[in-house]
Amino acid sequence: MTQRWRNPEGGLIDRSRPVRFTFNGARYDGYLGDTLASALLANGVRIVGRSFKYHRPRGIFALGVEEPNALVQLGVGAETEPNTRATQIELRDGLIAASQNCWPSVRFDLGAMTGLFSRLLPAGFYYKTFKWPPRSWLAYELFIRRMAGMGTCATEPDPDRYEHSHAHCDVLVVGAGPAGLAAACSAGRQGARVLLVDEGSRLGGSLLYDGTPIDSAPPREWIAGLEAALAGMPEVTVLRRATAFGYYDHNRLGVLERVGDHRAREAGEVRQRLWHVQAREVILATGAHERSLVFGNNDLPGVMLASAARGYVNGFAVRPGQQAVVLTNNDSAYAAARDLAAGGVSVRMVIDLRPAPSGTAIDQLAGTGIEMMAGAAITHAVGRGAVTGVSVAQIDDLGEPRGPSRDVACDLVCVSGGWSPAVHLHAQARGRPYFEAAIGAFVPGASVQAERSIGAARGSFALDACIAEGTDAGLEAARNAGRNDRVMVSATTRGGDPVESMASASALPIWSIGALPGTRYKRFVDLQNDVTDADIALAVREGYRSVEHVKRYTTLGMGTDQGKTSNTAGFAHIAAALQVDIAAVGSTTFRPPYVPIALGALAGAEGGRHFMANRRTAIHDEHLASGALMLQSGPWLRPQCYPRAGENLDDAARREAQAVRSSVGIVDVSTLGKFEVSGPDAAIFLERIYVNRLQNLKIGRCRYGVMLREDGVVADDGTVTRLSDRHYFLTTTTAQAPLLARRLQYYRKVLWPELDLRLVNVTEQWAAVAIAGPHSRDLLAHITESGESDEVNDEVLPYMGYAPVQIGGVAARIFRISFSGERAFEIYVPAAFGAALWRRLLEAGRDRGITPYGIDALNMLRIEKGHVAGGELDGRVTIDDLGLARMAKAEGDFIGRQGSMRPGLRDPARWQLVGLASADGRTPVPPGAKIVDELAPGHYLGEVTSTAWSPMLKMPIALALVSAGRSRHGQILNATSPLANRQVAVSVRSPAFFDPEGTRLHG
Amino acid sequence: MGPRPEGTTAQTAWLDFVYLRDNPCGPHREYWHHTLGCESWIALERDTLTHRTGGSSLAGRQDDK
Repeated sequence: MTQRWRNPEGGLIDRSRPVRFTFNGARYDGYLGDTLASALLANGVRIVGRSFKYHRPRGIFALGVEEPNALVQLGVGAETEPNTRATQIELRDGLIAASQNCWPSVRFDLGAMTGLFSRLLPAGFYYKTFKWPPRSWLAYELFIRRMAGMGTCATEPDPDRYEHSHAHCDVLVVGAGPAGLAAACSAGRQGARVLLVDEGSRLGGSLLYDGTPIDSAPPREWIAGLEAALAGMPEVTVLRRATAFGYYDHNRLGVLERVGDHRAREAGEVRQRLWHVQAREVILATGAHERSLVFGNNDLPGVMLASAARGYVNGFAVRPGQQAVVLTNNDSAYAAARDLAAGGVSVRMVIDLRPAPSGTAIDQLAGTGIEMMAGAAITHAVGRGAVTGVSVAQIDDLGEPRGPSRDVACDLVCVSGGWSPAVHLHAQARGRPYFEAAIGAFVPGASVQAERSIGAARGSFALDACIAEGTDAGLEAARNAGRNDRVMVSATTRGGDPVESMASASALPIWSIGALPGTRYKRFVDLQNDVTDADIALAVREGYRSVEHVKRYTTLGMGTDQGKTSNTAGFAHIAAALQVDIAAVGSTTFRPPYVPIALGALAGAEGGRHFMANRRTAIHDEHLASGALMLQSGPWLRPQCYPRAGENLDDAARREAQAVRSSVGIVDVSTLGKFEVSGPDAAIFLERIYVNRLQNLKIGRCRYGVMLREDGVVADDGTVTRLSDRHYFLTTTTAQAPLLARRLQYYRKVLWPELDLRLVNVTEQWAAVAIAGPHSRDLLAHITESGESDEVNDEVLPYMGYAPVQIGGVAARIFRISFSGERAFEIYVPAAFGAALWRRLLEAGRDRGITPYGIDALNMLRIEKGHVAGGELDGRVTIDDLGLARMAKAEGDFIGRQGSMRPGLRDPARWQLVGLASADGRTPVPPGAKIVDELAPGHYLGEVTSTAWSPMLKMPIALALVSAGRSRHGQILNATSPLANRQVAVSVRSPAFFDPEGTRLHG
Repeated sequence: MGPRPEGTTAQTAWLDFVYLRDNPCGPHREYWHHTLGCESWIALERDTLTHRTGGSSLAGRQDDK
């Protein structure tokens, strides 16, 4: 296809680099330097999408970030991205884009029939209609969700790479238009470390689309001069395609740099880079967004912001229409009319709402032959699918038409409703924008953080003012950042003639043009969310007063564009309906991000495997060598089991558990939390943090210990060993170790700083292996230095005993502690010797049938014994719930003592730990199942916390917390899992399924 | 957060200690934990309105009281 709407010369495009792309399945041509929007216009594509609610055809409306209509689905498959602005997508070869929210096609969309029922879809319709008959909302919702929509998300993982980077600078300049460029140069000349970021691919901002000379030179030469000057300053960094999207506390900003979106990328190349910028001083030169005006059918394709039409013809040599009509309430659109005419568009008429506009801007029309109508307005546009004409009438000073209307044929309507400074970042930095009636817009108020707004961003629209403010702000920011060491060189050019580059100071405060009598065209305030002036009026009639409430009720400004072109007009409509000033209505809150940001960019490299740190024990490689299947368990990678050839996971875990019961197994328990407590007051400290009595703990003995939270709930269980008179060694569960590291230090440092003791987290310092089973003592004796079984006999190492033992020249600590219920020893060696210990055990145990076991077997073994773990210690149970109340000391204070006295924690109906056996001895108990009693229907009585198949009992068993469970032993209840749609009859019993007397511990 | 009531006291004093915290708008003294570093608890002055931080000290030292 030829680009029929492209002028033969001009623009910033590279005509030597043609580009082919696909839109809605059709192939088109464009040039490098085009945006998707400019290329579509060059090819005469007018309808690019369907609107959110009414599925009305929509065209390209703006030039850049403020675009509300031209949202497209970019790319296909895993790379697809919804709701991207066609106005900001740089064209590249092979680019694929498609319209959103239309079916079967953008030109013929069945959803547009919603327009026929639009009276059923007023503001807040989802709160009002589709509510009857009861429950039918669910069905309606499904339909509405499909109808109202944006693009579709990729369902596959994001294949792209993102990265984060940090930058520190003296002065951050946001926006590289005339003001920002001048500011960056002036700060840079002071020797300040400057970071200049701009969302565009080229520096220059609005000057790129402006032919007005600066110092008698074309603006592009002025830009090139400053760009070269910046490049020569070693402390200045310029980021292009980089959007400052968030302004946070302490002058920290988020900047998204689109490194690879505009070109084909090699696999692994970064797509986007998120910068965390820490700036001493910030200069906001973010420009302004042109606004629309409200008239009938003001959403038809072909209705476009005047600045956008000017940008397309000047910057891309594209004629956005054949015959244009310009509607404005300020001076800025006259330059657009002039440039459109120069670019080959027939400008039929400039319609100014102001009764008697005059000045240099208006004089630009002299000699062009363009008809001008003052004190008039467009009452509505007409056309099917695209605008074909407008109706024009004289208006009174409220914008109501008076006198006869006149029809003007056109295919392009350029609208300018004045300009809104982009105060977003200023407001995010807790500045308070206020309404400046002179320009009819919100402008930056007092700054809270070290930032200042310049140029159009603060409502200074004249080019010379922009440049002057930039120069001054750069100097000031550099000085505030401590960079005033340079002799001030003559500042950059202060501009040439005072040119009214954008809006004049006096925009007429008319936001909406009255409808002609007898017409009922829709009049849109917010194009993206299909919010009309009638919706806002209705919301106010229904009693909404606060701007924040009206926003949420009507969805005004809640689209992906966040109302950049529509908010101010929306506030004006609210003010009119409430009969107050806009200033009294105020603006809605500006929150980050300024533009939609890909979640992948926020995540950076911290996704998938790198979502969080993976921790490996010192024995990790040995597990792999033993054929372990590793499982993510919190931050740790732990062996789940060591399957042999032909074994599935269950087979392997059962074999491993049986080996522990019949001979000997070894398991890596290095992940347990480990703490050393020493000093004169160590015993007092331990008395206060454990429920147990510990003062009578003898040297060389261990004790099972439970810690509570201050509210009386069990925090953790573990062991306490008295190594010597004033030296203790604590272990905690793997899961709670990080939390306890924090909490124990808090007790020590904040609650009881007067205690004389040292508390050290030695979790990292020790590797630990438990050896368990009838042959464990033989194995242990075999690997000790002496090789004598006497060294580890029951005298030296009785159950719950401790002994320091030399193993291979290494000082090891051996604790006779059992989680499995078998005779067992935990061997602790310095972490560096963990792998060696593991190898030595495997070697020594080869003849004894030694079996490494993983956490699956560990779980089976402990469930058979009724030992609690994470499933039971869920942050809701008390020691009495676990049947451990007898452990609590009768006297003395400890953490959680008072809390556990509360009546609610002593209720006999509380859930208590029980064992469950499947009643038929065969059916597995569903994990997480609820316990119910069919004879007493109502709320459930408890829930299953751990499940296993018991190798010793040869049947499925489970642990559960059940209301008054200890009094229910022998009862038959039901374990029901609505998720799995399964129900199993279970008999309640003691949680100690196997060897309840504990004879094997000693045997 | 006040000091921990020592020994057995009225239940209400305990509930206050465990559950109630001042939420001042303005200057505030609070504890921070250097989780991924030295595991120290640090007492920090911070203005909750402006996020401006003031002096800091290791928790539990004489000047923390």
